[in-house]
Amino acid sequence: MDFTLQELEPILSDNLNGRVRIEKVEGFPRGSSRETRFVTYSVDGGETREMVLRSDFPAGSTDPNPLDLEYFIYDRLGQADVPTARTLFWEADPARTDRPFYAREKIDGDWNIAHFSDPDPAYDSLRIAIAKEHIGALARVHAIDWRRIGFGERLPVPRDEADAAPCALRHARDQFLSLATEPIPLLLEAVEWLTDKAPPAPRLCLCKGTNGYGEEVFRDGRIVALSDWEEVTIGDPAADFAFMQGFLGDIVRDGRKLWGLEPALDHYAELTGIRIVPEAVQYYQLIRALRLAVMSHNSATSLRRPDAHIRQGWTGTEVLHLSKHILASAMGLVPPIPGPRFAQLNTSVDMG
Amino acid sequence: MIHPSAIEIIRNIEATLVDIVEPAVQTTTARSALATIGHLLRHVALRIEDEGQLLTDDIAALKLLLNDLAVYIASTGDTARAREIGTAMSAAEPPAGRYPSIQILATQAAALRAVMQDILAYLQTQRDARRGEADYLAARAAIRAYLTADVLMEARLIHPAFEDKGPRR
Repeated sequence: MDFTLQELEPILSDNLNGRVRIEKVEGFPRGSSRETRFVTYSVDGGETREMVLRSDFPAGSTDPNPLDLEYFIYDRLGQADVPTARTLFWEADPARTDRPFYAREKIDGDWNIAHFSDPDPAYDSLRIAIAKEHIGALARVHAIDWRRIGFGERLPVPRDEADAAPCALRHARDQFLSLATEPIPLLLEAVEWLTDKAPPAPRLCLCKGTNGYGEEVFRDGRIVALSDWEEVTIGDPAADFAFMQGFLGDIVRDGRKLWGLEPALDHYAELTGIRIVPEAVQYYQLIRALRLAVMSHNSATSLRRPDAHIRQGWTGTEVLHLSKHILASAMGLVPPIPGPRFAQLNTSVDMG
Repeated sequence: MIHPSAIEIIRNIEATLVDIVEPAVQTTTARSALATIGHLLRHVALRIEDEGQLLTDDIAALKLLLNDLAVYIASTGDTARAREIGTAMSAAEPPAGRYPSIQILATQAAALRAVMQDILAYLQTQRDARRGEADYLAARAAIRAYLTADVLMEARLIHPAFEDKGPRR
């Protein structure tokens, strides 16, 4: 399956119950875990619409969680009060495609925000407003009744608040050990070390997983769709502050701290009544590094196939190494790597 | 064939991609792929230069560590497990008379590391019972020392290829 216009038109026609005419199919260049395509189409000669198609890379996904779990998450989110794209269909008929995929609506907007990365202090207020908008959206995610919507059917569920972190660690360990690739004993050492230091969660919430600049869809400064749900978990809301790229950077002017982790947590507490301590966020950054190591490790296996995406080669080398280095430095084994070094991982050729 | 060397060829490929291919590339997807290719080419060049020696050092360190761990485990009375370590180490030895290619060295290192990972998992199950024993703590410290050296060794193949070399994707 190459997702050509000719291949897709009959499949979309069946799934959308009408004669679909596709105008164009475009690949999204930034994705590292899976492939994303934007399809411009019409049904029965009606208005032009857009949808998003998600599939694994030809050589497999970077994410050890299956694609149908990602679909399940989006599908169930349709029952929750959060801005997210509605699912359209799941396609896995082997007679029609050798790569299962699903479709969801494409929400009009952009991950990029003009002047967000411009260091001019004139854009400080923009940066803070965007970050607060995002925290407001996360507060709505954390308020979701995940039991009612059925997320526990597919996601690991901690026994109680004290089990939030150990549950995440057990899941990561099981996933790592199930990958029949290179042994990485450091990860076992890290799981033990992290288990010893697990903080209790203030509440068990649905956590989005990957957050921040590049992960959500904005329009006119507002979030119109929360994206990248493939790392969703049930656990400590601190986990959602552990990977929030670009939205928690310190803004200090004339010696006064205008924004950063602590002001962000204060803002979250005002919205939700849930007080998250910075230490818990730092702890979940390490769990994030462990999960990243597992994902990168999984990505490395994709290179056994020559049609692996070039980005999987990068994930299986630099990203895997840095995630191991983060864990090793947290355990006091090696010196830490400076923060700006990690920021480089998020750089892409289309960043303004 | 001695010249051009593999390293020279890879550096030439990288320069050609930057000087000739990149200016002609039209789409963001292709520019992104080219950026990643440049990083990975530099990484491959480092591996050609250093990986053979690093794997040789790694195998030597693992053998030393596994021998020590086998002695410790035998001292706890678990002679069967200690014998299994020796058997697994022997099984990891490459076939005699073969040139020790990178692939052969990597296979041996991975096999020894798998033995070490299994021992670590076992020792973790013993922690509550033995956390006060000096020999147990020494065994765990020896493993951590190996893990430290391993991360630092791997860094030599990563940082010079990627750090401050531009967007990753």
